[in-house]
Order: sequence, then C-alpha cells, then structure tokens
Amino acid sequence: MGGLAPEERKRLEEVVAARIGARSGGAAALTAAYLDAVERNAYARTVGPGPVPTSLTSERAELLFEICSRLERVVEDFEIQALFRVTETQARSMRKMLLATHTDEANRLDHAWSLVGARRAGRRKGAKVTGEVIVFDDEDRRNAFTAFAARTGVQVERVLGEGDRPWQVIVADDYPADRLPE
Amino acid sequence: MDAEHARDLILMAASPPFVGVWALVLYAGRTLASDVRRPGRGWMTLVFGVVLFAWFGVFLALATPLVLEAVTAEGAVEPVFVILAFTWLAVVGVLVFLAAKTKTVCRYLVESYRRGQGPWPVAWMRRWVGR
Repeated sequence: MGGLAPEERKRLEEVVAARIGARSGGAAALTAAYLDAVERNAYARTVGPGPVPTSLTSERAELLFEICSRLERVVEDFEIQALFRVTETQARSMRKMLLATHTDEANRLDHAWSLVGARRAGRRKGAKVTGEVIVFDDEDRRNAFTAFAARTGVQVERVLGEGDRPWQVIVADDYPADRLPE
Repeated sequence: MDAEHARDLILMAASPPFVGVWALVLYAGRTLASDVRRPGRGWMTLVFGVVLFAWFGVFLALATPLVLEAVTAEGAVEPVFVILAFTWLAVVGVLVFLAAKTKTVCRYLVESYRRGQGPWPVAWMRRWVGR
C-alpha cells in the first residue's frame, strides 16, 4: 500500500492548520479524518454496492460524509474551504448538499455540530418554555439546533441574549440532560 | 390591660423594617419578577419568607388576646391599644400576602431545577404546584 509519506502528511497538516488559522486546534484530527475518508471513499466507490456518484457535487458530498462520520460532527464551512480550496459560498452549499443527501445520519451529526462551542447559561422562564438556556456561537448553529428540536418534538424558544453571543434558546426539560453542553 | 406589654408588641411588629428587611423584600421581589431561575435565590426568598411569617405569627399569637381584650373592653381605651389593634390588622394583611406568595416561590424553585433533580422538598413542591 502506498499512502502518504510521513513528511507529506506533516506538510498536509501544516497547510490545513495554516488555512484554518486561529481555529487550527483540530487540524491534525481534521487531516486524519480527511485522509481516512478519501481512502474509504475510494474503496466504497469501487467495491460498494450502492450507486456511484456521477457529478462532482455528489462525489464531494460522499467524501464530506465520510469526513463527518470520522469527526462525529458536521464539518465547518472554513474546514471545507481549507480541504477543498473552494469559496465560502461553495463550502456552505456543499455542507447543505451533504445534509440533504444523508438526512438521517446528517441529522445526528448536524445536532452535534450545532452544539460545538455552545454553553449553558442557567435556567430561565420564557413565554412558552421553561428550561436550560443554551448560548450558541452563531446564528447557523442556533438554527440547526432549533430545527433538530422541531424534528424530535422537543420544545424550544428562541431568546435574544446580550453581548457578542446573542443567539440563545431555552430548551425544555424533555431534552436529554446528557446532551446539554457544559 | 398591660400598656407596657402592648408597647412591646407594637415594637415587635415594627422592628423588621428597622433591621433591614426592606432590602430583603426588594431582593425577593426582584427574584420573583425575573425570568432567570436561580435555585440559590429561590431558597433565599423562601427562607426569608418563612422567617418573616414565623416572626409575625408569633406576634399574632401574643397580641391577639390583648387586642380582643381591648376591643371588647367597655369605656375609654388607651391610644396604645388602638395602635396595637391597627398593627394587628396590618400584620394579618402581611401574613395573608406572604401565604399567597408561597405558591409563587415554590413555582420559582420548581422551575429552577430540571424534572427529577433537586433536593426532596422540590419534588414535593412540584406535585403541589403541578409542574
């Protein structure tokens, strides 16, 4: 088997780390997941029983799905940009394509993604819901979480927080306690 | 009728405001008016309410015989007993207010904990307030 030489792998990690900059905490894990995914994708394309992707978009969606499965979360747009050398808009649409084509598994991964960087901020009584307050890193994550809650029947209420992270929700107590962020 | 005893009772009823109870009333009011649910604040409000209720309850137990005596007495009554009677009425009002707020405080505490969490009194309160 070929594979990358150690110095090539190191170079790849460095490039990815440089591209994702200050957010490079997970560059090594991302690179490992990427390389594993490429290998797995090649195997599945040739040996797998499923349909073969015939367009670049669906090919990329498959590869992204493999990466996400290894990371146990949906990849960030900036990570997609770093790996595939695409624009922010393309990265966003690739992520959306991934979520659309692998709905069931993607829901779980999307939920995990929505909680990245989220934190708990005590309990609060809202207009409709009383429960834990979750503060999200950005609006997309907040929206992904509320979509997940709507699909699973958990009551949530969006509230506008103060400061630099105003994207908050109050989630009812039927949301599992072990899934709440710290 | 002991006027000195009546004066002591009036002093007893009037003493909470002099020992900073207004600050605690303000604290409790703000706690209950807020959307945020913090168990510590809820327990503090409950303890404060119970202490105040007990204080005025003791006043009521001590003052009621004297007030009844003054109300049913014939002839002129000393002003101190009139003041005591009005104080007694005011304290009854405060006790009714505190009793009426009990459920609100319990609801606050229940909402401060996830279902199935919190110390045992919270489970009891949850059944009572129906949440």
